Amino acid sequence: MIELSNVNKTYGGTVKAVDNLSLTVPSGEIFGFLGPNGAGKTTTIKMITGILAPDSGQIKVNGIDIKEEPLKVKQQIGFVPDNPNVFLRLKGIEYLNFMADIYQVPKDERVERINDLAKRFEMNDALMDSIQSYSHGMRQKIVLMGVLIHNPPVWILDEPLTGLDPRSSFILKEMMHEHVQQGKVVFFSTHVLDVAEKLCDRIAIINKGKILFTGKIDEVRARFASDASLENIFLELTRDEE
Amino acid sequence: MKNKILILTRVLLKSSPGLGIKSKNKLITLLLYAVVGFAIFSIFLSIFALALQMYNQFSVIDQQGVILGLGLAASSAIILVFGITYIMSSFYFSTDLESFLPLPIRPREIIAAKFLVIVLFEYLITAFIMVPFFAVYGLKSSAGLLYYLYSLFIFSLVPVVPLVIAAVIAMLVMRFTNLSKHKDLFRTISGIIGVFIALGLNFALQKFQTSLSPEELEQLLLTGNNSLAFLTSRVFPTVQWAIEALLNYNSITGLINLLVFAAISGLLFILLLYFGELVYIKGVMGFSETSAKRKVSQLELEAKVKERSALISYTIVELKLLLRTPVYFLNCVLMNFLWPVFLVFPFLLSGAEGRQGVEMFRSILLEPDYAGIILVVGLGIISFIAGANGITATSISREGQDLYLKKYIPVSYQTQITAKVLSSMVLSGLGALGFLAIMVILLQVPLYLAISLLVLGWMPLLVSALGGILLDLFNPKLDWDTEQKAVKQNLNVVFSMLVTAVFAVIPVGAVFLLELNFIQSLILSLIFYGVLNLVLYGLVYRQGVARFNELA
Repeated sequence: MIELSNVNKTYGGTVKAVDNLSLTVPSGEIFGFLGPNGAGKTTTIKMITGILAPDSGQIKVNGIDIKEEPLKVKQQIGFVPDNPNVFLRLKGIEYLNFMADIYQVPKDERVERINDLAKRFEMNDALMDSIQSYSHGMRQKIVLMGVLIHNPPVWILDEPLTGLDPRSSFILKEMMHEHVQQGKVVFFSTHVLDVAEKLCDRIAIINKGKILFTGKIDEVRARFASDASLENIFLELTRDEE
Repeated sequence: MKNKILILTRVLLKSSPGLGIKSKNKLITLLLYAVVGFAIFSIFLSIFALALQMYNQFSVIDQQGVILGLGLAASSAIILVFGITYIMSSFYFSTDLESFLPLPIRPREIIAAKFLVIVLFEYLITAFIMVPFFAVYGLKSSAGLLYYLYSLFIFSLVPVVPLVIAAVIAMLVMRFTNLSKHKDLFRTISGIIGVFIALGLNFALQKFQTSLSPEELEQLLLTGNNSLAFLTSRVFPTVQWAIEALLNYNSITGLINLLVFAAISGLLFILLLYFGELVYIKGVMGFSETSAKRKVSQLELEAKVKERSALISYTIVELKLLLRTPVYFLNCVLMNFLWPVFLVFPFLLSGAEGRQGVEMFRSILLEPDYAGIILVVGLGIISFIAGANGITATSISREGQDLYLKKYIPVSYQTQITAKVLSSMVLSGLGALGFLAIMVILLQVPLYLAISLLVLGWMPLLVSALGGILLDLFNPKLDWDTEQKAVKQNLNVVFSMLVTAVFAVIPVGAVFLLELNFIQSLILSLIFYGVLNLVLYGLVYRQGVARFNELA
């Protein structure tokens, strides 16, 4: 479970990126975080993962306050950043090993996880190559594998599906479903409304640092014109009031 | 065409960062500028003094013009050596290329713009040599205004010829070898070659100086005014016109030489553009990733998977990145092992005289009276080796825009800092061992001294490592697009060098002034480096950790 209450973040003293945001993501749900560019999605994710500290407000992951026990919270989370160009000079296997050491995964378990993940994402043959030689999609897959290697209870993914080939994207979606069926959390941001509509149990729409709406897709529909697509509702909600 | 070149040049200049001095505290920023200013000023001053001394010496035999030749030849050589690496990284390895290639710009326009930017950067380096040398000659020979105008004009053109040579070499190599596919390996090797070219030049210069027999010198003197100047400039033929122009600034000969110099520089530049048009783009393209895929057996996989603590694993990754990233390898790792070479270089070079020097040095080293001072000097050098390699002084900067990766992993900032310090201790330690080995083998340092240095050596190493990371935590350079900027254009390395130099000098001064014996010097070193370590440890693991937490 992820709980944010009255979280604020201002950049450079003037730009309010996140404005008094409160949000609860219960366990057992795939939660979609939607919003236009610059709405505050990434800032929010950065605060949940411990990259940025909020100016005020409280963030709890599985009941643990990130301010009080940052390492414990970080141990709970598997975070997939939107930029997969990381650790390019390591080989795939070295990167996975590093991540497993960092999250203290025992050896037997990590061999099993690497085997399983490599098979699912068809990365077996690339593990001994340097990440620099990977294509964009492969880099994304290796990052995903590195994150999932410690089997984190809470998945946080920043734009996870852009750049993945259809097969990998299908597998990832399948894995998300499996994950929440075990009573765990998947929280991801996306621009792709079709994906959100099909995949998410619940969504939140954010604009200018404020949550405009939280609820199930059906509830969104019920509240707005029932036959409208999510796209239309999204456009309606996030339109500038000028 | 001209317009596009200027636009590109402006864009390139704007996207290259400044000094990297940024601190929230205005006082600290001011202080940093003052320190840098002072350092620059003192270097400048010492070169000025050198030029003045040389002028006075040469003017006795009416050869004062030689200093113009020396200034120009030295500048050209430096530009050539630096130029090859600059051109490589700017023309071929810069990430901005990918955004330029799809634009409707001709290759020669990209080349021209990038070339101009490098020329501007070269001015910063060559000014250190040419301004003192030109000014000393001008002032001492009470030259007229025209001399200074000529000087300025020549100063602005000097980088062109060496850079054209560098660019042609670079382009040919990139076009006709498939080395570009092994980008990292190539950069590492060319960097190492560059270092050895620099060393070789030094060697050649010394040889050149000593191989002039008295008869030759006399002949040179007889052939009249300032002919020695041309001898020094033989390496770069175009420099001769520049010298001739400056020496004869008040006659038509000077003007003609100046025009020839300018014309040839311009011509070579234009030739380069057309040459580049043919060669450049083909060298740039086909640059993309290569991969050799192969099946991985289960056994292989299990052998590769090892369980380690987060600290050790983090340290190993730091070391791997230092070794595998060419710029980091050259600046942080290789340099580490070159310092000892630089230190003994003078002894190895100058023939019989040098051997005499070594003998004298050895006898000093064996003298018990000097044991104390040798101990503190040795420890100081060890500290300097670690401070100058910048492994910790750039350890946060090297993270760059990926710093956030280190913020969401469940590893405390203490542990992360420790891993960075450890990686420095490992590599600097190896460098220090190399230095000790040379002391023992070449200079035959007494065993008790060598062992003392070996046992105490970790203390100055740790001081430098902690000092470096403290500097980088509070003034990291995170906004870069090529790794070069994180390390080479990072002032923290300079600060770290200066600070460790100061730290090294204090105990040396104390031992010298108080005339301490070996045991006293040993105790002094223990206390000095011990206290320093404790203070730095406290700062790094309190303020430093808090600062790491704030960085984003």
